[in-house]
Amino acid sequence: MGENIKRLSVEASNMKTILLQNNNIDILLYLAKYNPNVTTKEIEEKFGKDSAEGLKGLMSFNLVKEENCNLTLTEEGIFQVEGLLTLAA
Amino acid sequence: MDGYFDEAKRVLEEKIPEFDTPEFRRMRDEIRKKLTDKEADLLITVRRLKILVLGDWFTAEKKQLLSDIKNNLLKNGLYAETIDRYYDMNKSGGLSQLQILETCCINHQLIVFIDGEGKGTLTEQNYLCSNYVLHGKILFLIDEAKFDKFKDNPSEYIRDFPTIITYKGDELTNKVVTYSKLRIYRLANIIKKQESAGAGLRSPNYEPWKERLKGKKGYKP
Repeated sequence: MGENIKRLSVEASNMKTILLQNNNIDILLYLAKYNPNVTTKEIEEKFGKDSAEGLKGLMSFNLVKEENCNLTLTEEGIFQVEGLLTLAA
Repeated sequence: MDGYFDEAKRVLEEKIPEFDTPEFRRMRDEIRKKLTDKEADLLITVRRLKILVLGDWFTAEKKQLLSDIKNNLLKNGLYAETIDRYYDMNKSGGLSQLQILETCCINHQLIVFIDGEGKGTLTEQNYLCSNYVLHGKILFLIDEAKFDKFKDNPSEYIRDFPTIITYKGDELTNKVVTYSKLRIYRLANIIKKQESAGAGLRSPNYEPWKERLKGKKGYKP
């Protein structure tokens, strides 16, 4: 397929690591439930100071974005949370 | 946001329990538990792979068809995009359609190219045909009657696509989903297998066949 298999593999593995870090699953579920009216400050209040790091990780995988001080799930973010929910079904 | 994602977001809002309830925590714990299993790796990998749906999008009807195909792929757990996510045909300035195509084709692992007529797909067709490196990740779908007309003529443009899938009428969407699923799962499996075996051309331990066969009986370099 002419793909860089190693890069794809590392990306998938890194994303799994990010998802499992700190409160990142909680944050994704929270954003899926309540965004777009959620701010970074609110996330930090609910999930602790570490959550700012978690948000950075989620943003680096284009799962979350910040627009006008509000956090939202991206289309990829929604798609991944859909996938996570199939795990819990 | 696209129609599919609006609906998906609405469903998520319904399914996810209120924060700070035992139900929310139970859902979070279950996801965390399942995510640590090795079996979840395939799902994560599949959902990371991207499909680009290309085809005629110069009329509202054709654009809707591409959008329907994309949404069907998404509903089936395959991440798909159409080029209009990156390119606004009514907007002047910015990157050209060709530049966008270059970026998209590199960053998507599967390209579903639906044969069109004339202007609608000419840029895509010329670009894909001339970039041999992309051919391995293209599924080319063409109406069966048109294919039958061209199939015995090797000078026709269809010769440029190594994987040709024909369809009749409303079979198109189902065929795209079926073959895309096979391709994406195949790639995801390759990724997982090569990862666990540490194999592949890019592995630091990779030894070319020429080296591996050196000294073997009957081997002539």
